[in-house]
Amino acid sequence: MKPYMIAVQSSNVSAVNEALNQIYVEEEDYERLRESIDLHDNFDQIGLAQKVRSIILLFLIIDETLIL
Amino acid sequence: MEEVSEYYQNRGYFNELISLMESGLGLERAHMGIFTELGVLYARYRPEKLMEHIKLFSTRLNIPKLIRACDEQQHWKELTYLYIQYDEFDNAATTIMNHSPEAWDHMQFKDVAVKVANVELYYKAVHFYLQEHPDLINDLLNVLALRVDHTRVVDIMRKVFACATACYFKKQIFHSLPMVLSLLIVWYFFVVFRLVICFL
Repeated sequence: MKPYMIAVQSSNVSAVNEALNQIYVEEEDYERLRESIDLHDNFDQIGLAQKVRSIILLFLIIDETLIL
Repeated sequence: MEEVSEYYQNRGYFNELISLMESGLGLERAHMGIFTELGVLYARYRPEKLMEHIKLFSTRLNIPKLIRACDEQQHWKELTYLYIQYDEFDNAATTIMNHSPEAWDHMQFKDVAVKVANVELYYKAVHFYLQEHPDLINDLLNVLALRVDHTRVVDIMRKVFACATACYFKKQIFHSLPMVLSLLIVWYFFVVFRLVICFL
């Protein structure tokens, strides 16, 4: 599915953008994610921000537990 | 013509009838009806020869009649080929999807999918590929990319993937059920043991 979505992302459809961003978040491919957000602005920005924030918090918690 | 055919068939002389028709093919001005009738007979009694016959004489057949015969005798591969010859790509695609084990061929389906007129069939095809041939879905979507509504394709994908994940977890839970049960039994004996000790 991913190659198809990358091919049609140039049409800037919100469903495609959101699906791809979700895949990038799940794969932790932050460089591609940044590129996707820069080039295609039609998506649920607050939703993505919340998702990314929760993941960052998760990482912080993991870090702290490792330190402790 | 029809009467002769029925006369032979009613008395069970299929081989004789087929050889009669085959010798009829060799004539200079062989009639369209002979080719069609022979095709129908092949569909009924010699399915292994049917495909070759259709491919050789596809221009000289009465295709609608043979389509009915193939449908009746459930020769899906031949039926698909006839629909393609008759420029009925919607029906061809539907036949392929409904009888995929026999009729499905990736390259052929891709060719048919491009020429389909009904938009709903595109989404049906995407769903069909996600269910049965997920490894080839990108190839199909490359062909269809210009025609489909991307939002709807992504919707279909989300639904299918959600379903697949749910099935996976359900399976996992059912696999671990004996393990959970045995843990419960151990825990139960443990509790009983502690109670007994308390009362003593």
